[in-house]
Parts: sequence; structure tokens; C-alpha cells
Amino acid sequence: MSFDIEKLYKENSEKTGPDMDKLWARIEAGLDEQEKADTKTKPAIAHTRSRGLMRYIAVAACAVIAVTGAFIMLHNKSGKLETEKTNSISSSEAAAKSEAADGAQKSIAIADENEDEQNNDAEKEPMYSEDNTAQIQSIDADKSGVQKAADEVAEVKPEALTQDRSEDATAEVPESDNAGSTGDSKGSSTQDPDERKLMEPEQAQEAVNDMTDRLVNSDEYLDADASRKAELAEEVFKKLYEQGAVISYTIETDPLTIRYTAAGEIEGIVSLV
Amino acid sequence: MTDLQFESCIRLMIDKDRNGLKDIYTAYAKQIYRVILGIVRSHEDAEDLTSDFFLKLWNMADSYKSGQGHKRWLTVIARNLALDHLRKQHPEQLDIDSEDGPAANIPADGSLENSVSAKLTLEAALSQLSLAERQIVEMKLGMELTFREIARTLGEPQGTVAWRYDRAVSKLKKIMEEEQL
Repeated sequence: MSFDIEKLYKENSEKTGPDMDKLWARIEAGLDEQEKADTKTKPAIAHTRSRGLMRYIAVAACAVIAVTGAFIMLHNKSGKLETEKTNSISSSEAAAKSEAADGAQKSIAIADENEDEQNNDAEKEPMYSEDNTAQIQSIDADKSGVQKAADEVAEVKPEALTQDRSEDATAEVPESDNAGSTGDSKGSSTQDPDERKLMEPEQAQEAVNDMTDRLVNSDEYLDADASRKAELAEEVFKKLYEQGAVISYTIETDPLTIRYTAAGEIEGIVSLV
Repeated sequence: MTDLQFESCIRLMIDKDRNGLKDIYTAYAKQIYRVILGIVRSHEDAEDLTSDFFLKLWNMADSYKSGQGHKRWLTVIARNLALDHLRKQHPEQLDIDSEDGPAANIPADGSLENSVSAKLTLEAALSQLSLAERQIVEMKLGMELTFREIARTLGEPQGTVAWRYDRAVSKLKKIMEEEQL
């Protein structure tokens, strides 16, 4: 007596299985409990997120103050240097002039030299009326420079905060972001073929092997004639192409085979006989 | 259920629509139950774990990657769940690849062995198989995986899987014929 194990197995499965409606009710109850637990924990997550945000704002404010202070100090130093430079240039010019004057009027040497020396000294020291104005002008220049720096920082600040906030949101709620990004990556079967990404060679070969294995073992394929087999095979390889596993494929009729080039330039043949 | 249909169920689940999970449950709950039963050998535990399986599936729907074969993916999750359960219960006894006869190192559900009529059913015959053989039979006949997919799931060569399946089916036929006589 021969036994059809497959048929016996299916009959046995029907007899020995659990009450499917009861089991589904149990699963739904579990899902309801999970949802309740999720809603309870949500406020805690929001609180943590706002605390994190305040920290970022405080750090950004400290950074702004530090940068502004450094900028002011740098400008002060450079302002002083420029003033000293200007003074040294004017004194050297005056010295050159006085030498020329000496050369031209040597007969009145003592009086002229004294006068020139006095002039040099006077010019070396800051001319308060002129230099005060110059200093005031340089301070004003500093102030406007600081103001400009502050304006630039003020412009940068909201963007930096927005960026940090979005990063923080990503860190705190990974599930939704992952779901979004995973959802996008799962659309490979409906991607525009021109924009498809190619798989890694190993992954591509595995995909080809899996899908052809499934095809040749399917009932529809086993019962089909040659032309239908070719159609079924073409559907499979079209899908592999869309997924980026296969770069190109050709179906040959005599004998019935598919020649393909998988991602990574790996060539293969599948016999459809 | 085709891969495309499964993917659309997954998308529903990611959007927190329970109809996606219900469709997968309708298509595969019995087979998943059988795969788990083949490992834990207890109907009660298998039922509990099947429920845990679908709750776990709900939470990890976004980890499914298109093109990897949905039946194999489900089988791997079910198998791992069952093996973790066994390890917690019998950590010193578990030997997944044991070729010994009726899963000698794992106690079966006593209710089947005591039943007189059970000896004539396939269920009783299946309980005579080793853990390795029974897993292959449940995956092949229940989940309808190919030998290649089973080999990848178990981490064994395809030839070994095919040989073990043939041996298991021969055993089952022999047991059934002997019981008939």
C-alpha cells in the first residue's frame, strides 16, 4: 500500500491545527496591549526631546558668545597695529623730509635741526586732535565690524538650531525614520529601470539562483509547454532586471535557454528545458 | 501568496493597518504552527509561540527586504523563536542536528504517545522522526520551501537536505505501513 505523504500531511495539518479564530483573537489582544503601552511612553519621549533641544540651544549660545568675543579681540589688536603702522610711516616720511631740509639748509644747521627735531618728536607723539579722531574712527570701525559679525552669527543661528533639532528628532525617534527610509528602499520592484541601483555581485547571484530555482520548481512551470516556459522565465528575469540583479538577458529558443549577465559582470546560463 | 502580495501586506503593517497581518495570518498561520510544533513537540507551546510569532512579525515588518523570499524569511523567524524557547527550557539537552530517533533528547508532548489511535496517524509517525528530519519535512511539505531555501535556512548543504528528506519520507511510509499491518 502506497502513501501519498503530501496529501496525508495536508489532511493531518487540518486535523491537528489550533482554533484559528481563537488564536487570532489572542494576537489582536496582544496588539491592543502593545498599543496601550506605546501611548503611555510617548510623553516621556517628548520630554526627553525638549530637554535635549535646550541643551543644544545653550551650547550654541555659548559658541556664539565665544566667537564674538574672539572676533572683537582680534579686531582691537589689528586696529592698534594699523595705528602704530600709520604713525611709523608718517615719522619716517618726516625724517626723510628733515634730512632733505638739512641738506638744503646746512648754514642754518643748529636752529633748523632743533626745529626739525622738535617737529619729529611732535609728530612721533600722537596728535591728539588728529589721532583722537583716528582712534574714534577705528573704534567705530571695530564696532561696525562687531555688529557685522553679530549679524552674521544671528543669521547662522536659526539654521544651525533647525539642523540640530532635526538631528535630535532623528536620534530620538528612530523607528519612524527607519520606516520611512525602509519604505523607500522596498519600492525596488516598482522603480523606474533607468534609476535602478545594481546589487552587489554576490547578492545578485543569490537572487538569480533563488528566483530561477523557484520558477523551475513551480507547478505552473512544470506543466507548461516551451513557449509558456519562455514567457514565465522572461517575467522572472524582467523582475530581476528591475531589482538590479541582472544587467541584461537573452532568451534562446533552440535549445530553450536564458543567457544573462548579472550585476558584477557575471555571466550565466539557465536551461529552460 | 506571492512575494508581491506579501510585500503589500508588509506595507499595510508598516502603516499600522492590521489587515496586512491578518492576510499573512490567514495564509501562513497553520504552516508556521507546524514548523514550530516540529521543534518544540508540544501543541500548547506551539500555539503560544505562534501567537508570539505574529506579534513579533508586527513589530519587525520594516526589516523585511524585497527579493529575499518571504516564505524563507517567515520560516527563519519561526524557527529561531522555537529554538530560543527550547534553549530556555532544556539548555543542556538541545542538539538541533541530532540524527537520533524520535528527538531522543527532547521530551515530546505526552498526550500523543498515550493515545492508542495516534499510532495510526501521520502525526504519530512524524513524532518518530529526528528533530533535523522533522524540520525539513515541515518546511518542505508545510511551508513549501525548495531544498535550496531549506538548505540556506538550516545552514546545511542542499544535497544533505534532499537526502534527509528522502530518508524521512521513507521512514514515515514504513511506519504507516507497519501500523496498517
